Amino acid sequence: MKTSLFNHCIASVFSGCMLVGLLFGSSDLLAQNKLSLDDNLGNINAKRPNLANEKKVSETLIVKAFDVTVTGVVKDQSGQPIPGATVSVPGTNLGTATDMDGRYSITVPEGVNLVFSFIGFDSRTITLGNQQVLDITLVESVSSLQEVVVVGYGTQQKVNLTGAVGVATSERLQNRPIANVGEGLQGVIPNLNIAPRNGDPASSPAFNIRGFQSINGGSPLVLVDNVPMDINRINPNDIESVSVLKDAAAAAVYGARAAFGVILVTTKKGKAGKVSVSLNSQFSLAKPIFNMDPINDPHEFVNARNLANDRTNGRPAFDPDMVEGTRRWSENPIPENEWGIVNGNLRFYGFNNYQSEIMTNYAPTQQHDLSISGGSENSNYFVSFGHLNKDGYLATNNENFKRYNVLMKAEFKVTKWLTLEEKLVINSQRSDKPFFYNWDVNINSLARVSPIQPIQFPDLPFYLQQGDRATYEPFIGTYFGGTNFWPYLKDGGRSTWTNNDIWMTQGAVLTPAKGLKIQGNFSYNFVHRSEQNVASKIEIASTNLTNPANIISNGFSGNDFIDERSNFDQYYVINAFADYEFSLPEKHSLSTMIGFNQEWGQNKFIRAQNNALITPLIQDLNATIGLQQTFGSQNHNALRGAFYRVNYIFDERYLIETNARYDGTSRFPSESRFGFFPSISAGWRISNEDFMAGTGSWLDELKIRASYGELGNQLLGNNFYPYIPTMGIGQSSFMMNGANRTPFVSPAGLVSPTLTWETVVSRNIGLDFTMLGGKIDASVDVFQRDTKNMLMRSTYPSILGTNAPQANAADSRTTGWELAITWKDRLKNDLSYDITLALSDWTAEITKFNNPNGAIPSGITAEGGNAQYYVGQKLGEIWGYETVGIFQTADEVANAPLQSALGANWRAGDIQYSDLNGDGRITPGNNTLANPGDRRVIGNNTPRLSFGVNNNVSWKNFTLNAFFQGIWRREHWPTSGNWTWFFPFNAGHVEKYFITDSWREDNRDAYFAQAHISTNDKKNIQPQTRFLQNAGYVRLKNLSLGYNLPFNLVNAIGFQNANVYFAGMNLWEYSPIRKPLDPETIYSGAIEYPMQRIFTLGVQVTF
Amino acid sequence: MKKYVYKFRILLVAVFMLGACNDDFLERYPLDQVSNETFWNTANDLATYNNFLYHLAINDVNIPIMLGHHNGFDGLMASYLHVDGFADNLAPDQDRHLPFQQVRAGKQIVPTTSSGINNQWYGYRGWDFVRAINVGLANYDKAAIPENIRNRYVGEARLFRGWFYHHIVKMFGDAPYVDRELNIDSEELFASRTPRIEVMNKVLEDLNFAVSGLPNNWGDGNNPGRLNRWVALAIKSRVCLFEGTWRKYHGLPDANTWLAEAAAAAKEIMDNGPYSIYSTGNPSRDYNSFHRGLADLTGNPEVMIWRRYRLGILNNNVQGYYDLTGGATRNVVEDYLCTDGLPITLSNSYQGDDVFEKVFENRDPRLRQTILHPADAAFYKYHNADGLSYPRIAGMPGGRASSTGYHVIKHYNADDMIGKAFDTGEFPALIMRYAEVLLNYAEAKAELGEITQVDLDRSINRLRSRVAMPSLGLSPPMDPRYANDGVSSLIVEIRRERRIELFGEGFRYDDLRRWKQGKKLLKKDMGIQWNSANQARFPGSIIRTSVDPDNGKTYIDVYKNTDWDNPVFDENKDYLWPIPLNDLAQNPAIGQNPGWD
Repeated sequence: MKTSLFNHCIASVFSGCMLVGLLFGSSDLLAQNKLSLDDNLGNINAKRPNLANEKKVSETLIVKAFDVTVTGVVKDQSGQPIPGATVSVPGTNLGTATDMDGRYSITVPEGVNLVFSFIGFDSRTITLGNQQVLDITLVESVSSLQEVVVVGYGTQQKVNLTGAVGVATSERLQNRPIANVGEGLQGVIPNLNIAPRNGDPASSPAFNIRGFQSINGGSPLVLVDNVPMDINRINPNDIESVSVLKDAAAAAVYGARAAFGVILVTTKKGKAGKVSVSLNSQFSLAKPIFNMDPINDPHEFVNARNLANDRTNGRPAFDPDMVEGTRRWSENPIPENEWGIVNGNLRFYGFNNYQSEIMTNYAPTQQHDLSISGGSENSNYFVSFGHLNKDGYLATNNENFKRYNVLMKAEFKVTKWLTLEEKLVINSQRSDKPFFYNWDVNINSLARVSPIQPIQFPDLPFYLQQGDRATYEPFIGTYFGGTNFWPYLKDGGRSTWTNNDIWMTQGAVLTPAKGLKIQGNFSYNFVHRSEQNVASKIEIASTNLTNPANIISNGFSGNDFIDERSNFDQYYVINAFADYEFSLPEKHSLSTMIGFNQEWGQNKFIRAQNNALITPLIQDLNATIGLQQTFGSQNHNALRGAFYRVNYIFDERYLIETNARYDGTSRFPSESRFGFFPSISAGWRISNEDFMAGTGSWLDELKIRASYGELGNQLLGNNFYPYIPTMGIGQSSFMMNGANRTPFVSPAGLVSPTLTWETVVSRNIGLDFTMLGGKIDASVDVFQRDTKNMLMRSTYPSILGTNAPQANAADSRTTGWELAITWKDRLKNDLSYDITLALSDWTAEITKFNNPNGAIPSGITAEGGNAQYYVGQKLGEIWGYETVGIFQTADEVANAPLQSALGANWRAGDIQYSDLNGDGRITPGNNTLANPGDRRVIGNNTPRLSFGVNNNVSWKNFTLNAFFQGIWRREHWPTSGNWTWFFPFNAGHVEKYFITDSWREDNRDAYFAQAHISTNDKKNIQPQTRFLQNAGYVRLKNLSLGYNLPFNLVNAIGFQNANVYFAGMNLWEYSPIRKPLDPETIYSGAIEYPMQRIFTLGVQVTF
Repeated sequence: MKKYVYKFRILLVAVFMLGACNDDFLERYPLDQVSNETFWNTANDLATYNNFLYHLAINDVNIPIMLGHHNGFDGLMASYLHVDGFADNLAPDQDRHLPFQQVRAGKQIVPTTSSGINNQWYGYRGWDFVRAINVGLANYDKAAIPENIRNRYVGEARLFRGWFYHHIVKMFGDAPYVDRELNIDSEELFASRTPRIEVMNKVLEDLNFAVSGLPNNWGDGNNPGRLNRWVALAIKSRVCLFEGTWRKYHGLPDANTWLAEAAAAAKEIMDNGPYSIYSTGNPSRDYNSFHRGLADLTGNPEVMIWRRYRLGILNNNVQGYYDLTGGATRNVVEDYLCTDGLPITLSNSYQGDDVFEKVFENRDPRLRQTILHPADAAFYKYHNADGLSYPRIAGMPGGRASSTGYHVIKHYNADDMIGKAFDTGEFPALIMRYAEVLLNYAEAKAELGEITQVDLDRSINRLRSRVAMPSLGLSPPMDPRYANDGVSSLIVEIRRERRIELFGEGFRYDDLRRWKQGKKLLKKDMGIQWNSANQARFPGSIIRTSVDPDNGKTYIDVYKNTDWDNPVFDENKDYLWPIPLNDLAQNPAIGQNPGWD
């Protein structure tokens, strides 16, 4: 039944190797040409025609060793000698270090490269001629002190930053088996909170900056080279840097969309110089993280379900024949014991291990990236092509996700004062999955279905009576419908979609006068999403053999159709901004920026659904013979804003900056459409003060910063016209005449005519310091974010009959802090390492909300769109009962407070709740704060202390990265909805813990109540203290080991650099949460695509 | 210098082009919706708007007044086939029927909210429907069309409003009455409930307007088409009968006024309407044949409201869920008269229930068209014509077992299930039929004390003659089982007729409550007799039994030892349902119903 994974992998790897080989081959040719050209330069060992001689070459090198002895002094820019600096030949074990006077002496082959390096300084590589004395001056590295950070519409030196900005560089995203940027950034920047919904590569993780935003949700604004783009569609390998603007001061130039932070992604660009080609290929195998431990004996299964069913409705789930049949099979699992016929019905006494039968153990992914960059004085370019191909876990008719990315950037210096910039970004994604016929027809449901369902019509010697095999032979191998997924996965239709996201940008940079730089660009984007769902008819067999004519039916697939959906979105962005740097006397530095931004978007959606395919082989709307239906919708919206920045620095000590934006949106009525969002921030570089002169030996930089600012939030999701009451138009499935839908117009909802921005007031205090020559680099921020005038729908009595209009009427406050600290050091023996800790925390509270009667938020948590809140509510709180324990005897039940408001027929083995209000009854009260009955806040699902720990070690040519990410504590109430997998007997399967951890008279200390089918009756699994989970965790998100091939070797074949690496993602985790829950994917409420452990092998070459 | 000027000029032009303060740029109106100001012009606008009311009303989960079969999964409860599970007609034993079981056993829990299928379905919800009606009523006047045309649509909307409020009053007594579009500052939101008497006066006004405004026939040839005046009258007879009897037996004033309205509305249909009792002259098939019909109910003279289902537009799975009814109770089976017109307690022709098939002998032919006789399994293709014998008791192999032994087949249509995929059924919903009008008429007249033999002959005896049962006279003998119900033997028989005729159509629970006969719900739901012969005949059954103290025989006791054992009916509490906690929390002034605090 399973296609061979092995073959599949081989095929993928083979094709990948072909690609790499081709490039190797061609580069080899290049190398030969180059070498012959360069022959006269007298380089070493020029005459090596092919790779086969590689080994010999190394040997030759060693044989030729000790040609030259070089001595010299290594100094810094001020002429001071640097002790302990490393002098080495890459790719060899040759190396030494300078002494206390900065002197060194090393004997190396002639013509090799010598690398001089020291922590905090830029390394220098010198190709050795015939010098014997070589004095070297190392320049202090800019990586920490002179580092330049991308900020809104510009860049700034890190030391001069006054707002809260977090930065991630390209290294964090490269050479990792990540399907999207989000996976790569998780845990990297403190308080950039990234939550994957599940392990599905086609689903995007949610981004959040600094925690709770607004009761209306909200998300950071993501800009790629200053245009809004879906970050999950870009190729992680094209990214040069990511800046996260966290506070109002940093984000103010983005005004109305920046209330909850901005993520600025900058893509790579070309550099003047020779053509550099870089190729990165990697192959991964992903293994789902399934924490399930199902029993795999049908007899045990039948008995366990019988017990639970008997408890629930007094009747076993399986009859004695089934009990006996499964016992027979489990004692002697021979084919004869697998099937039986009872009253004309086929019976399956065996057991299916769906996890092993449907799922492959490993799903392959391959990823290839090719980038070319180069340029001259007057022009440069960067071109890249990326491809990701990821398979799902199905053993048959697998899922597949593909991504293609093209980035083309060029800059042309037309005149001294004019530079033109061209950019083309193509992000294309394609997903192909089996059609989702019903709630159970999905890979992720395999956990929930009863494992004793028959799968395929068996091949038996006879069926109802001797000699009738011929009657039933045609059905052999046909799938049964009972498992709900087998036949549909195997023979059903597909759901496919393609997303083509294309951005075209024309930019110009003018430098008409000294200090003045004017930049403008126009970007046009169109996204076309084409989706096709084909539900084709499937033949499935019945287990009832009495009427052979009725054995075949269509299961869930009877209503076969083709559903085509097309989204066409257009968007344009105009940015124009000018920088001016004033020429002022020494000690004063003043720069200003002023700009304009305008954006417009339009979406169109068309859907057509035609029923009854002529044949499942032809999947086109035309190839149908049934009912035809069409639907459509469209909308548009616009934004316009102007902004400025003024930055003043006195004597490199006092920094002050103000940013603001005046913003208008089409989403609000004209009177309240525009908003002004100012911010101010200041910094004090204490370390540059005279009185700090004595600390220079250990303190490199110390700065405190403070900022205050206001931002607006217009985020209303897809509600583009919240102030305009409109009547809906639709087609009802109520048929007035014949088989025709009935058109209708529905009443307009309630709107508030005075809607305007939510205002977000943010305050931030930060401290940055660098110590010990750059060994320690840290920044700490404390913030408070008030979201004021939140658009709120009060919950009115239901007789209002519609959603209350949104009004600007609620406030919330989020407070928190974050810390990023890096320690890096280089030891003498070529070992360098760094450790970065990113740590953050936040909590949020409702400070204003109109809830006059103090109604308790409905549901378990208060998160979400129209939920109810109350003043003083801590976001994420969980209401529930306090558990006393499990009733042990009937007497205990009789003497305990009455629980009849929660359910009927309480017996020993059921949960006993605590009578918190002492009224002798367990009730939910009247669901108000004043009378919550016996409920209280039992926990909070806000993640506390989110952390990421990144460790890098490099030794000679090896690099090792280990990255841990996690949350210290987070309370979680496991979903008790039907067909979820935490509470025993809530779904169709049985795990070992259902049996061992359920109460019985001989298992009185059990965690769960007595076995009970809880799909409908939730009396024992009301939200309560007993089953509250701690969803804190730590997970090894990345472990990678890289090896740089020896330079001589690489260079000899014409490469600049070659690197092989192994990377593992999600290799290990710890969490106190009970299995089978995965602490990262519990929030979607259902069992979905699992997280996965991914093992990757990659090669990167540059030539 | 000149060069700089030139450059700046380019720059200035560019800036003005981009930034020209053109406010229109930010004026963006919806592209795919209409506004309230520009709509409401023609009769067609009004009709299109009212289509939305029908659209809402097909949501049987939220607005269960025009109850058909909800599509998909929720159809396992939200269908008129299942509603008798609230009462003593059906004994559903499936876990998914927990809400029925809770109510039936008197063990309902005050819900937090009324939402979805599991949280107080049939309860305190559907307010978007009222709002849509009130919005329409506030705008119909805008159209410049003849008054009589306008009044058709006003009447249609008011029929829906009256009908809906009847449902709310039926379940909760006093109701939050709203007759205009509310906004968040409307005082109605936080008002206390309007007393039942007042609400029902408004309901009657609505229904009377509907009767005067709606046409007898819309003349558009549509089928099923829009609701017409006859439907309005039929609804009126149902609502007024409910209110009249409720007031009479629960001690509220003006019962007779309502009963008279009920009788008059029914009589108008009987005198002038186009409907008649469906019959082909075959007493053993006619009663249920049209209940089991597939596709189109057009042309059936008894059908007043029905709903069409068509693959790809609106489907249902009620036939797939048909066995979730559990089974008919012994109680209802014993209520069918014998062919001599006498109850089993009085008739000499009753054969007893020692042998399953004997139960059907000499009984009202409707019994065998409601409950499966083993010999009919092939005719009904019950189930899948797999050749296995019936009845099948819970636990027995083969599936589709009955909780009581009495399989319901009244609405069973194998052709809409066998070989059909989940939720692809097209079984039509027969929402209202003329037989109910006749029953309403007879009951209202009898309760008024002014019924004549002519009235009986025009109503109940029409139903009886379809199944060749003897006519009902004005003074039938009193069935001893109902001698203590406090009503005349004629009313006992009229109620029995209603229970039998309308079995499985969702009336029983409401009827028992309006008659103040909650005590009937104290009786356990039993199944077939469990004597040694049956034990031998039905091997493998997994059932519980109890001894009937009246006759000393043992019967299947469906809910014994389950959470629904020993049903409760609190006379001071269970006639009305509880208001959900969230609604109370949002507006404490509405107050909880007695006994639910």
